[in-house]
Amino acid sequence: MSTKSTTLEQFSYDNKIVRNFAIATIIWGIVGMLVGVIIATQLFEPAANITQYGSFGRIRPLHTNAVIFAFVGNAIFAGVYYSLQRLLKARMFSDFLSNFHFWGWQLIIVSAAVTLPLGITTSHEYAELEWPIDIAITLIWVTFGINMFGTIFKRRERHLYVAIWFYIATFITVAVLHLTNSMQLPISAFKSYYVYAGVQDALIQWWYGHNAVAFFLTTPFLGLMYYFLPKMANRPVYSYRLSILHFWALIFIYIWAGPHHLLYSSLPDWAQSLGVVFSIMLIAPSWGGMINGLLTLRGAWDQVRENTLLKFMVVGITCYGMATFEGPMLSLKNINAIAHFTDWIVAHVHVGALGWNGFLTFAMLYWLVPRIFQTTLYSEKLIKTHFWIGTIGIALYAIPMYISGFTQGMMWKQFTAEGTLQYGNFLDTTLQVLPMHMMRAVGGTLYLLGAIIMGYNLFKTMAQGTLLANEPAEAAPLAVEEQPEVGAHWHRWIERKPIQLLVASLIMILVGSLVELIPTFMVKSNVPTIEAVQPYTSLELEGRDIYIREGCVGCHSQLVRPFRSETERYGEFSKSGEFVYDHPFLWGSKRTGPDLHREGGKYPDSWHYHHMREPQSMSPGSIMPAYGVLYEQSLNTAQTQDKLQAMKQLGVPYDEAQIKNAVADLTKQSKEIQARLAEEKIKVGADKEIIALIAYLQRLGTDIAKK
Amino acid sequence: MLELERPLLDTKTTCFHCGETCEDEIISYDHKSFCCHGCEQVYKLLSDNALSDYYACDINPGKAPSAQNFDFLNHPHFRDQLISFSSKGVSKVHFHLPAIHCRSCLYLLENLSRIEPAVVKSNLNFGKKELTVWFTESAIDLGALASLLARLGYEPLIDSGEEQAQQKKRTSQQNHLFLKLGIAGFCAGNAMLFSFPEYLGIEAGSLKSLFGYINIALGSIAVFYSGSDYFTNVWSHIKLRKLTIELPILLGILVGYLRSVYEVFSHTGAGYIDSVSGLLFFLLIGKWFQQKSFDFLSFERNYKAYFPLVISKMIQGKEQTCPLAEIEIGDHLIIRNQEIIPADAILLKGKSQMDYSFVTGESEYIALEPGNSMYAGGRHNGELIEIEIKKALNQSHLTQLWEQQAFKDPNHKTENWENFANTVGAYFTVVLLSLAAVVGVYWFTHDPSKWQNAVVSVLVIACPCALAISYPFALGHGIRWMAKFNFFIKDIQAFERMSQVDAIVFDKTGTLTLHRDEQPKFRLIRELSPWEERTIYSMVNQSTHPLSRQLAQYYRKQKLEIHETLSSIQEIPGKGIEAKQDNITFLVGNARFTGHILDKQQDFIRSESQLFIRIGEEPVGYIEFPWQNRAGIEYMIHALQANYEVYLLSGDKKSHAGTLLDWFPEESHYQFECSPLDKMNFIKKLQASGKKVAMVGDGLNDAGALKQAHVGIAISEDHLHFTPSSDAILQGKQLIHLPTFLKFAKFGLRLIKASFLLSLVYNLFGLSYAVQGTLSPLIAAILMPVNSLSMLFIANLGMNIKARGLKSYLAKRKGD
Amino acid sequence: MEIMYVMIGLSLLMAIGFLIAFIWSIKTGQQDDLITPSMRILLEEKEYKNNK
Repeated sequence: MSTKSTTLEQFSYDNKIVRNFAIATIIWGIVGMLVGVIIATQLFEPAANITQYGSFGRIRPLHTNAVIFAFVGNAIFAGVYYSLQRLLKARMFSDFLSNFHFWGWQLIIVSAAVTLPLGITTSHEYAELEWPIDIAITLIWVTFGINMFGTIFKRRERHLYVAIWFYIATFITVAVLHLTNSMQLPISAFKSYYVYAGVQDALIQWWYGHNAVAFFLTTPFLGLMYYFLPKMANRPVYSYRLSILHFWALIFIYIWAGPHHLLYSSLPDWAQSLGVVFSIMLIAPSWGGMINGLLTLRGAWDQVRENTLLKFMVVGITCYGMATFEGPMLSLKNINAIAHFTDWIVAHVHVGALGWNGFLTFAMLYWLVPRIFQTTLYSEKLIKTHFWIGTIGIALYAIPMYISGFTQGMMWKQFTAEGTLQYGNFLDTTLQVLPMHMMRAVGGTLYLLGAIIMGYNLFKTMAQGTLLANEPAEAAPLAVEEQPEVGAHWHRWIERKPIQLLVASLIMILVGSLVELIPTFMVKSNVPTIEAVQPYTSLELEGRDIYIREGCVGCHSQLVRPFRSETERYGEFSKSGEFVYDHPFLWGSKRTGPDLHREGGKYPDSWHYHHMREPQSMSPGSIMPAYGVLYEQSLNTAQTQDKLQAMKQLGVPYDEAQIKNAVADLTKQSKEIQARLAEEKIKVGADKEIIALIAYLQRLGTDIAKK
Repeated sequence: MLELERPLLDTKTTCFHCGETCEDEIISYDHKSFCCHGCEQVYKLLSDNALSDYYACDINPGKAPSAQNFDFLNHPHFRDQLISFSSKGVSKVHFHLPAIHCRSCLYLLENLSRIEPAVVKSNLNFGKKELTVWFTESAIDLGALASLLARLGYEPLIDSGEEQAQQKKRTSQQNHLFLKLGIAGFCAGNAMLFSFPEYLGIEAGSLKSLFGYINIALGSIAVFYSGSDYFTNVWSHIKLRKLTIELPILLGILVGYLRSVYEVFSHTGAGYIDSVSGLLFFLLIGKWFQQKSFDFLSFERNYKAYFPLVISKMIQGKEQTCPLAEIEIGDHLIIRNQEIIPADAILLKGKSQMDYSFVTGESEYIALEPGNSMYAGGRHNGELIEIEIKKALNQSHLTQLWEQQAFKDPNHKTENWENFANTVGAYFTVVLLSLAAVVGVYWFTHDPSKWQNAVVSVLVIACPCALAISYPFALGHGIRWMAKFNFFIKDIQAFERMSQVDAIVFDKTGTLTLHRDEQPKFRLIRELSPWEERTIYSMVNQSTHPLSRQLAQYYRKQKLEIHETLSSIQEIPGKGIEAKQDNITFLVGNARFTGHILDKQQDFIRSESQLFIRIGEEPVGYIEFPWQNRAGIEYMIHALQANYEVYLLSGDKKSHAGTLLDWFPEESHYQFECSPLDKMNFIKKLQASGKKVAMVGDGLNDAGALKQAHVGIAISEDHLHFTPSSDAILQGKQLIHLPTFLKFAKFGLRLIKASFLLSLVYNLFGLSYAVQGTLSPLIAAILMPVNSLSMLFIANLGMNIKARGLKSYLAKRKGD
Repeated sequence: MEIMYVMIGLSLLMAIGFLIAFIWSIKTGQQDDLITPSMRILLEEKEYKNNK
């Protein structure tokens, strides 16, 4: 019997929402990884590119989006909704918002799954979704925010546990980043151009790209680690003080590390070096988390031996440690020179994703599903199996990729005694690493298999238990003097202390200057402009949009770095002035195929014509998919005029005439190309998409050549 | 030799609640065994309130409950002091619960409201062992609440208001520092960011000036907020005409800052903002690190804390409890066995064996008859007595000690000694300023364009920040490690003073000799009959010999009756007591006197610790008492005498010194029968002869000496035990390691000096540029953090390695 | 490179936002007790012992 005291408030935790997110995590996880396996296969077996909707260029973004935003995203929400309620001793602020958040997020994922294969993409990595979906994301994210802060305000536990700080940081930064990187100028419901061009666009994108990793894949999971690891090991975290310190350190530094993704690019050197320094400084706080995590288990290794959940955690945290050490190392210029654009980066990313995010998620699900379903796990044996399959999977994935990456990096830079490139033909380097790609696919498949096993195990668990939709709980409310004071309070402390005043005023200044600046930077840019560099013709512009649609940027960079090895291979290195009209930039981040920035004029139109239809016919053994559809589909010129108009608004100097005659010019230029092809006995309609693409490819990087 | 042991109850059963071995009786309830009904009650209470998880979190987490009554807390005098906040009928109170030790405590105490509905909520601070309770006072009063906690095994330690105030102050200071630290870090990090384009000499274009301004903003926050303490301290020192290490530091910071402001606004450069704020950041880390406070103990207790909080007064023949503060001359008080006399008084009813050892250091009890007068601080042994107050507490014989100068001015220590840092600081300032002047003049005459730059960089680069950093870290580590060995040092200043000590003065009673609270061991050839025991009790009860008194005390605890009369009794000094009862002669005393035959070595120890008994013609064996001297004390004194002058002070008669005296051959090195004041003056005398004296003592009678000494070390068996105000609290068991600890302190200072020399090398390197006026901000920005970091590194590494060595050494010592 | 203004501005804004949060957390005594919370979370709800 229990004598309930009058002062305790009775309430209940919402487990239903946790279950929903958990289920979503499992399903999307399997989907995302499946797509991953498919694209991995495509990288050694071009035949695996089935129809234009299943071609590598289009479904690679599907994979990244699915695993990051669908799998990891839902996992984060499941974990946050579970832990937040319990840490704050309060039910989520509003059930409606919770459900709105859930269904909204799933809708976004579905729409991504539909639009990306259709080739509707902005080409910004991890931000490929077009503007309407961006807006939806913003809406849902804000919903999540309101729900979280609402809960924080009505909390019954005064102290905000460190995990919550990590959640808050995640929310705020992701919001800001998403907004900044989604500044697009819509042309139609499914097409838009980024307001920034070239270098600036690249900088913003990678500032976003890096921090997306930082604040979507790292901070929330550190929060989850700080909640679930102690729970699983049933012992407090090694040093709570350290967790607090490394949180603030991480938060103050992470933001700055973005530019290291653009080393040797046309970004100002000091900005690059800055990125490097801060990336290095990041090791300390990142490892603070890892050390704290591992030391929490000190003296409990016997527990780890028999508790598979803890095994998952240990591997996960170790992978985090490796990734966060490797990251800064990769940002060192000389290492970056080799690793960038190679499979090394892929390996680095997947150590983090498969190990840290994946394994932590698995452990978390295994832990909380039986709890909210008031039962025990369906099968212990299956967890063990999952753990081992998963771990082997990671190894089989990472190791070949490291080897492959290193091989590529080396071969690309290899010179003969005579001072010519050892592997002048890029294809040689690709063929070299195909076995590695096969092994990688095996590793990925194993990992996927593990996830499927987990799915089965967890659904069985759910079936055998019954969901405790509303878990009863009781706690005392905050004492009077503890309750969050209302606005007046903030005034008080701002007025009371000069320092706060200083800070506040500093913000005011910043906000002011931003408001002033934003209009200016869109029009004028002091990126050194080169006279010779001219805007694209309407046909080239359409061709460029096809290039974007087909996701060519996924395998082909457009950035020749100032190394002899690259200038030898591709031609003169890229100048920032050449990209001033590139909305968006298409530098890319991976060279599965050769760089294309100096592609223009390298080969005759006919070469491209044949190559695009059957790559192997031009370069035997190439793993590039064929693009037959480009020869059937005719170019849609309905929006050509609007596109030029939009570009003009973004500061591209098209004159009225050019815009008025956009379509006319387009047809004219395509007829010329058609004629040139005809000379080589190639019959093709001038209105086919391939023509536009060829036009664009032939224009690439040629401007600085013409005097 | 007699080998018979008194059969001792020996069982392995441990209490399910508190884990103690169940001594005499085992209560079983709910298939679990408990050592006492108290524990059983707690268990019942918890299981009835569905709080059995208490036992799930940890094994036998409980503590034996206490029946202590806390009703006196309801007296407005205490209530107002304890209740920190009250609104809408809900009151908030903080309790200090020393018993808190594990997760179960947390679970139980934060679920208090399940046991007592009147509790709204309760919040535990584990580190401070402090429980905050919000409760509806109308439903349960403070006393009842405290008693409930006591019943659960968490007896609150009600400490005086001033101690609570001190703790509050400490916390707020720490928070403030943490805030300054965080902000300095923020500013340093961002300033560094914005100085980057400059360093790489790369054209950041239009951004440059913006960066400059942001830097200034950040720098201003760092200097004027985070660095504010430096301004206030330096100012106060200047007023005292003192040169401290902080002056040159502040100078460097300020000059660097102003120079930067000038450069930025005149668009001539980016300035040193990042170096300056970075330096401040490091300095503050140091300050933060040195602030190791032992919240669960207090170094500042004065005699008031030693007295009971409440006394029971006779008012019209009715007994009534009231706070100590309210006693007046003429009041009649009731004093029970083991209670303390709160003020000078005369005995009205009953007999008393008065124990002044804690206040005067005499180990002999004084027998008092009605009419005798007694002094505040004495501990009464025996039946319940009634006394009449003769003097107000603050004028009593005991408290005159606190009229001394040492107590009057709080920081007489900090002012009467040379802190290494400040000594250096003084010279440094002079040298630095003159150097700057020389350089300035030189350039002014040779190349005026350079003179400002040169002077600025000299002042910036040469600032002795290294010392200001290695200091707190080395010493901070010092006190942290010492705490690991149960040697709690008040602050790093005390730690440094320890390193300077060259003479050590020990108090005898309670310091070198143990508190006599252990059970005597009976080594008798047969059980004594109750009657025989009573006879022996009656005999020893009349003797004042320490051993007799211990035995008497033991029997008193056993609630044994003494005979009304003994037919004949006489004490033969140096031999023992002889008495006749029912024509049987009892002899209690040393072996020869009682006709026991022993071989040599035993003969040696005998005198100190054994009381032999002979009944009629039969030598029945002896009762052995625990060692008088702390184990290993001789070894320690010997070790100390190698490097220090060691002295012995005691309020006791010389005759009770026993074997200890063998270690103090020179007359001048000991003094007996000295009053608290004498002890204090003894220290003064030594200091006058230029000695840096460490005083080691335990009692109130040592308070003066502890206060006066260069370092006052209070000995305490457990840190809840009362200790007079001191610079350090050392656990009794660890006293024998004192030599090692002092060595460690010395090492700490050596380390600092070494690292300081190293930093001078850095500075010279920097200066070589500075004097030529060619110090680029970049070099400064690299040199200064590197310098600070290496100081930090050396301090950490050095102290930790040394301490680890210490640890293993002590472990080995325990081994053999 | 006006874009730098935006990025630096935003980054600094965020950094300052966090700084304020930091100040708040100190002012309201969030950081006062850095031992108990880590133990407290383990006592939230009944554990299912049979989970390995």
